[in-house]
Amino acid sequence: MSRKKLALFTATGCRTCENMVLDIHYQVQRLDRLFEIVFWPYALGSQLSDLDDLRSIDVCLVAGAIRTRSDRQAAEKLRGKSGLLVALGACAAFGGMPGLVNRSQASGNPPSPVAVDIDPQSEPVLGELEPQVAALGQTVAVDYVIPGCPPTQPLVWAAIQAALTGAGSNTHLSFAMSRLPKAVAQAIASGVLPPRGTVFAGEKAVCASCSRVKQEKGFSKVIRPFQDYESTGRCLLEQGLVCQGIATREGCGGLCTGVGIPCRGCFGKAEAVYDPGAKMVSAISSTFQTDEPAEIEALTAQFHDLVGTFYRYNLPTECALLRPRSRC
Amino acid sequence: MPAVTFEPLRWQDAPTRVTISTHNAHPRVFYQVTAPQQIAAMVIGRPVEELPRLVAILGPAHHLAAARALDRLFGVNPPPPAENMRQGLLQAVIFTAHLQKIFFLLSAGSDPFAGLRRVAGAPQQASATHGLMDEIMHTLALVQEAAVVLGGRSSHPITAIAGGVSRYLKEEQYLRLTEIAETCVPAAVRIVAAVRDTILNTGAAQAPFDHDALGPMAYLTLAAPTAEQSQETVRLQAPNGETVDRFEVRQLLEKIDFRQEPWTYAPFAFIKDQGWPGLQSEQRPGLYFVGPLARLNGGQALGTPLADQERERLIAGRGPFPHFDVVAAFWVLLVELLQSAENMRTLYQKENFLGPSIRSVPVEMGREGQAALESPQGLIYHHFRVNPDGIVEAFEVLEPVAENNALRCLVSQKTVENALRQKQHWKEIKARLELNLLPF
Repeated sequence: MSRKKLALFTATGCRTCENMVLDIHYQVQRLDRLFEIVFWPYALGSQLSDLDDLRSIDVCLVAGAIRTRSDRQAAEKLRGKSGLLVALGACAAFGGMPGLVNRSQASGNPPSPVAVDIDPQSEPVLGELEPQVAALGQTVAVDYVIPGCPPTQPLVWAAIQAALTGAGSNTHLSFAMSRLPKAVAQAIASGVLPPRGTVFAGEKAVCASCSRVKQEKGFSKVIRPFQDYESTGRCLLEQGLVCQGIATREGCGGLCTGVGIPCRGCFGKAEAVYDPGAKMVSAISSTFQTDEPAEIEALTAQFHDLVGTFYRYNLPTECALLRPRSRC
Repeated sequence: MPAVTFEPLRWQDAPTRVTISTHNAHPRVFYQVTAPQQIAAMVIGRPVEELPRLVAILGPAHHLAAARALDRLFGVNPPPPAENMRQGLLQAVIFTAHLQKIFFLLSAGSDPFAGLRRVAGAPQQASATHGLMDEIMHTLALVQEAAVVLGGRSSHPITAIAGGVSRYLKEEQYLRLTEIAETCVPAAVRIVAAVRDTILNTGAAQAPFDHDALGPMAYLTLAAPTAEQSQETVRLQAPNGETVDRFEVRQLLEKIDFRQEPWTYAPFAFIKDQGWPGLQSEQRPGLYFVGPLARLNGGQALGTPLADQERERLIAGRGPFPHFDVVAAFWVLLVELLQSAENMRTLYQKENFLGPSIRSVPVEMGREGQAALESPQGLIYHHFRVNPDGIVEAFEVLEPVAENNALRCLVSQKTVENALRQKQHWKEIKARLELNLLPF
């Protein structure tokens, strides 16, 4: 099997997604045997100008949000040269936590801390910012998405192998199939790539894979994570903690809820969910154990920062009221 | 402006480029951060208890610093098992960060994914290095597993909450942590010896680094409580090692100010009393740096024997502290790697994680929280104010991107000047620059 060409790039982000590729540990040194890594600034020192000389890329993983004009230009170049463009991590997939800056800007905070009085003859000019933080799919067409902040190592490795090797190796396939959604795995096993737009994660909600016990009790009070709550294995939402597992795509295996921390939705909305915030409001309010308006008002007054909580990782793309055109 | 640009730079956490102005005989070098961080815009308006998780995107140590600041806000102290879990996570974070830099150093001369590896400055060591790289990857995997046990995740940990941690460990996790720590100490000893003997302590390999010494600069560190001061304090030391100021953590942002230049999105932290000196002068009052080299420059013996032996070897090889050169900056990473491995071995014992409670539940909330921490990259400080509902109204963070911004600019300037004097090609200059920036 000839080696396929792989590229990795982070726009504006924290490098964790790239490190998750490095952190596939034993496999990372096999990357070179399977794939030719033709562009990876962080690990190889590739330059943005190198993109002009690259004829083609088979698979390109892009992490980070689109924040600067340079990010946009790099994304456009990579899209033009790549057979498959994969959004890696919550920032590239949905805008991520940097997307919260859009809300801050809407509140009147300045988008940039940098002054503009610069002498271009003596000092370099700094790249301009985009008007808003955007996901990769809002800038260029994206073929696949690997969600998560950061994506889990098994998913990253499974997706890389699936996208790059296709049905070329039984070993790689079995690994990928054990970690990918059934429909995606079946498509790959059939020797075809999954349809464009496929998310390399689960289809159901995090609750489906959360180990906590649900007792179908109502939501009667709001508990904030600094307050006292049970350290048992009981469902966090039922205890009164705002946990977004019910609206979030599974694939992490309930990492956060497993250690007693509520889900914040870094895998994006579940397949059947239209808007994660609306889903959360609906799911919580439907279990209120009162019909009294005053009691409902008192209960709802206990919730804080619903936008920043329910759209923590996906404000630019998954809030139905703000949802712009996606080319994904 | 006639200029040469390297964009982006290899191994830098922030999105960066270096622009070299060549419009006159003396090149001027600009180390630029090309995207704003805007962390305050992300956290203001959020419930304060979310801070440890939100700021973890700056690095895992920020998760712990934010949790510590929450403790102050709520006036609670984590029970000993929780404090030990947090400390255990911090040691794993330091170990991982330093070992990753060593991995990068070893792969500097080549594609890190290629079968044959070449050590910087010592190509004849290729075969020996191959096994070393495998051991590094294996050890990294182990320590990241420890970080997952303690922090829930290795990169963006989640378990530190106000007053403690979110859950007890399980029986098998106690055993696994001990096993990991026992494996990491000898692995660290082997890795440190190999890197020291093949790269840092050989005359041939030192030559390209030596010319790129940073030059004297003040440094800032977190100092442990003393007989005179029961609280942690921040210590500012002059380039000659003399302590010129020592103050409480909460005074940090009274002592430090920020300079914003129009050609970079990252601010420059400087000593407020001494003023902003600019980046052109050879005199550098007002500038300071943080990080492993700053911590070791204090000159104190370390409490862990293997690390202290390595510190002594550094002194024997490079002279007494303080140091301001790239070789020493890499060498202190080795010292701290051993130190964190030894600390892990001490901390990762079952009895350290057992106790009646892992969390002190807050009963009242203040209006301000602040805390400092020595992260792998250097001193970090968080300060926030909240409204009566516990919603963040103001957030300030001091971190190495700003604190070492001046240092990175000066290292870049010095490196390019030296390389041009030696008539190196641009490609070689870029590689040298990236290597020199790596340990800071």
